[in-house]
Amino acid sequence: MKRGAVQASPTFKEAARKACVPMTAGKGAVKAQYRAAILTSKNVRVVGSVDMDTAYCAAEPNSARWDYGLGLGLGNGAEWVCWVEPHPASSTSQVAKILAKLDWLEAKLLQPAFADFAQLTRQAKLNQSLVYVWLYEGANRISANSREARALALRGVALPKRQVSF
Amino acid sequence: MAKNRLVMHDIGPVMDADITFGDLTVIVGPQATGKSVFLQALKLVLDRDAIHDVFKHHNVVFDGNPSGFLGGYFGKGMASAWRDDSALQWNRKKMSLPDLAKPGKAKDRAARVFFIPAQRVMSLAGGVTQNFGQFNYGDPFTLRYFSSVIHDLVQNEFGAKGELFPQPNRLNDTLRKPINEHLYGGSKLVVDAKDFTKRLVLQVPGHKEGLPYTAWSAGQREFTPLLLGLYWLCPGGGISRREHIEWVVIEEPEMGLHPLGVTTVLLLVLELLRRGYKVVLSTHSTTVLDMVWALQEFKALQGTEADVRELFQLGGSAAAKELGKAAVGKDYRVYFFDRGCKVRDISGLDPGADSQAESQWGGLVGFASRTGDVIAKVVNRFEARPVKKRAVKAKAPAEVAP
Repeated sequence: MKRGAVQASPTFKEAARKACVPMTAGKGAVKAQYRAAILTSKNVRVVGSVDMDTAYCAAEPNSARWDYGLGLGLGNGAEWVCWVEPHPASSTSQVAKILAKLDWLEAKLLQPAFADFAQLTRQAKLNQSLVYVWLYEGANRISANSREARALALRGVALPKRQVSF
Repeated sequence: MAKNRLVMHDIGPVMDADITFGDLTVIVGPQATGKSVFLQALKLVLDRDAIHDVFKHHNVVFDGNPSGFLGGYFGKGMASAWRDDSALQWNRKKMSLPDLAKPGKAKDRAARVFFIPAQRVMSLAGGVTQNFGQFNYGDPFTLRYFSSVIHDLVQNEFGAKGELFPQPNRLNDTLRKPINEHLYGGSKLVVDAKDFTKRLVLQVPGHKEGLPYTAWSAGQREFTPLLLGLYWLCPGGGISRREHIEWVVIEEPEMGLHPLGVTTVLLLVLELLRRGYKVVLSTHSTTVLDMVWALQEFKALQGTEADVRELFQLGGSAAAKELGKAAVGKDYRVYFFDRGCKVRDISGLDPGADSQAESQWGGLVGFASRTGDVIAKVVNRFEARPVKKRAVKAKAPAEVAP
């Protein structure tokens, strides 16, 4: 589907409600220190955000939990989700940790309560938008020609970014 | 005063370069961006008198004709490299190619730079070494001189011994082992004096006849002159370095080699650094930059010689430890020569650098980055594709049934 086309898809707000994950307006659920790293063009707005990590901290304290979901939308009402994980990129060993978090997130998206989030994720994939974003601060030691960078690509995760723009 | 700084402006294909050399300096960039001209200029600046003396020794006389000299030194066609607004400085001292084209009057005229050129394979035509006079006017001086050094080494020093590799008194076991394993695959490099010509051949275990040069792999043909150059730089008998030589320039050390072979050559580069040479490389190999990146990080993060040994899969011999110890103490620089741009310092090699020139290592990992991005996108698109209904699949056999 072409980006921007209107279709009957769930809203981010509705998806968060069904999944019982508290939604905050704009980038509110994202820790203040990471908000500046998330940029949008004038056509795209952040409709809301969820903090998955906090939401599941008590229930799944030992799981490798993904951090944030970011609801993005266009003026015509089309919405999709981008999953953002602030995480160190200080060594290639961090890649396995990111992929473990992605496993956790994908398992969640298979649950019935997360069906709307899964639909919004699919929408992001169809839009050819960034779906899973690894944000980092400090050093980045994940070389683009490393085995680990290829492992990330095969799971649909772009190389770690200091900033992401939608 | 700036130390070891070469500045070039509008000379041949070099638009603007301002390079301060480290213990190891690596230059990267696409073809025809002036890397080779820059390196040749470095040698000319440092070895002007030695170069003139070599030409004179071989009866090549330019009679003060700058164009003739520049064509003879850089290669034919380079006489016009110096233009009206061209500028050249070494450690802030202004120079010009037309001035350097005339012999100087210095007392100390010894060469300080040993240059292993990209065309080194031509120094062993058919496995036979070539001397200076066998080349023509217009062939680069760096190739002619390198060939003559190799020629003397093989015809005189090693000609009598017969065996070039392995050599117990040249390079230690830490270095010989990977050369044997990754470059010669257990074969011996020997001088075959049959037919009254000293010719290099490879003695393959189990074969009576030596393998002629033309039957070697491309990597072996490229590596052998490089090895001979390193033999010259690392004399045996407890002598660590060639007298007067301070700098070693190696153009594209990776030529024709598998990454395991490149890693072996890099070990030899570390050996040169350990011996106190300043080394300058031009390269198109990510393996070379991988090493520089790793060594820079080791330095920044208090890495040790053991980390260097782990990187190169070296054992715990005293020589390996010495090599590692020297490597973590050196200064590394990387510069990017790009078309129509000023040469950029990308020494940080930070994959997350704001500058694409640095994050993509002067374009060497640009394709790998793009590959990752595009594959991630395609993976996501594939996962979001509409899934065909099972009923359609079930129907298919019935439709094709007779």
